[in-house]
Amino acid sequence: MNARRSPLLRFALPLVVLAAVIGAWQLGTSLAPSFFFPTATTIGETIVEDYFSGPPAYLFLGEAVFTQVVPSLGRLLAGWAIGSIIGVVLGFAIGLLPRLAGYVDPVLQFLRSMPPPVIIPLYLVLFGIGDGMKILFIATGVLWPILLNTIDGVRNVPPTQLDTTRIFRIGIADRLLRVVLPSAAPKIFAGLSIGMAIAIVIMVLSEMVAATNGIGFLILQGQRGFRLPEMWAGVVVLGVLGFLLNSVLLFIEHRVLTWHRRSKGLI
Amino acid sequence: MARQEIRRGGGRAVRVLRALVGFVVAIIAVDVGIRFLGLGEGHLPPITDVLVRSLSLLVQPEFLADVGATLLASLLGLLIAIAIAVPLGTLLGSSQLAFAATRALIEFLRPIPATAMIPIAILIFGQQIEMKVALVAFATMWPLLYNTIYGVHDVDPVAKDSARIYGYRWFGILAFVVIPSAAPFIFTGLRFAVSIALIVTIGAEMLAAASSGIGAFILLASQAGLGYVTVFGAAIVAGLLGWLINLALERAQRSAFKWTAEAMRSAA
Repeated sequence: MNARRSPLLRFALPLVVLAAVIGAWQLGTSLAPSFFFPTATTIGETIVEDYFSGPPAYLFLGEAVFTQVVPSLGRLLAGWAIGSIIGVVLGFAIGLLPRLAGYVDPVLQFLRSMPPPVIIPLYLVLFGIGDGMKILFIATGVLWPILLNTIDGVRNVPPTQLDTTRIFRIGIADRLLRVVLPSAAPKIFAGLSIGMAIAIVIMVLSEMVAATNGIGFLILQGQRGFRLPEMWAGVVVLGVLGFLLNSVLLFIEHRVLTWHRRSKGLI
Repeated sequence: MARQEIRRGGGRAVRVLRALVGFVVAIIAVDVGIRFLGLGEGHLPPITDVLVRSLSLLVQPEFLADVGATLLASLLGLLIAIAIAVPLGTLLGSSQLAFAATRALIEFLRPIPATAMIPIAILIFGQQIEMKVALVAFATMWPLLYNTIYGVHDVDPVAKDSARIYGYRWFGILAFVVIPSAAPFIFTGLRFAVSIALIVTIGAEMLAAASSGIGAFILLASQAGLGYVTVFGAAIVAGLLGWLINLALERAQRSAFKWTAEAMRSAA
């Protein structure tokens, strides 16, 4: 029952399980070699070779980091940021103007329901095949969870708080920034984190459809050229990248929302 | 709650009317943009033409077969994922030890984007429905597993202890306390899983040059020079489909979990 307390369980056990699973993969793939499933050591060697074998001046980062990871990450973050900003701004507008919401909500719900792959042809026509198209494609996918969560968060500001600001004649800017925004922040952060997961999914897709670099491109090339270790290495790198981005986001959320947990008595 | 209903205003008829006005204004705006303001620099067909094509696609048997193929693959994959993720998640979530042990593993596997697995699935399973089903099952496993584990893990211990005091065995506790209280979380995972399933299925159909499915139809239409009217017409039908599925799930969630407003709110 004291599993939550024991540091041994909290830190050592998960790592042991992780190591055991990697070990099991290694054992399975070396006992029954398969072309499709390279051994863990082969994948590991490929990762080191492609991603971590650069000169010391580049902090030992390999070529693939600069030619594939950096472009991917750049598009990912740009698209995510654009989608987030549009989502929050639009979410505030719709959340605060219930009249507008009645007209706009159904259209947005429809647009949100379009599976992203089907809008690729439209974006290719509108924005070409460059980085701009991919960034806007990512932004479109990211927009919806953030927009909906922001609307939700803004609508659920406690009415007493809004009434209080009105009684004290607090200006609209202060009302938005100091009452509505903090109150909606937990919901917005939840949207940002779902948005990040979707951004990675869409980034990979866009790089497989039309790109000359990026991790998604690398994985597809690995498949088409039957370079399986390269392909699996790309998948692992994407997983680690997603994990790191999510951790950073959680860390920021933790810092920003300390007051929220405190007010709910969770600390 | 009542206050919000009033604030959001209007009965059903008013809501439908407003929605219609919203759609009509949006369609006119886009149409004017394309026809007169040079939106898409002459490459985009007027949206009214596209909508007419969407309607004619809805009665075209080949296209409906493609829609059916996409839905079938998504559904089969989802069912497999549910059959694995819900029991496994319940198991991992109910044991403190298993929860702690598998957390890191799941946190590492979960962020692997489903689309990255498309090439691997194509290599292993080929271009047909098996590939799509396997892909959907893998991709939707994580949101379902994650939400089940956390839903089960967060069950109020007092409720479980109370059930134990009243003489329930583990099965009774599971059936009457743990599952009902985790269900809203699981359903939230399911809604996310459904949208992921459609993304992965249609994306795979496009990348694998599959022989059937909405993605295959769109790819073929754009390569065969059928023109953007057909490509976009099919895209709008896909959106409509996603919308109907979303509405149905939302309604199901609302009626099933009326008792927990919080669950409904966290479902976005």
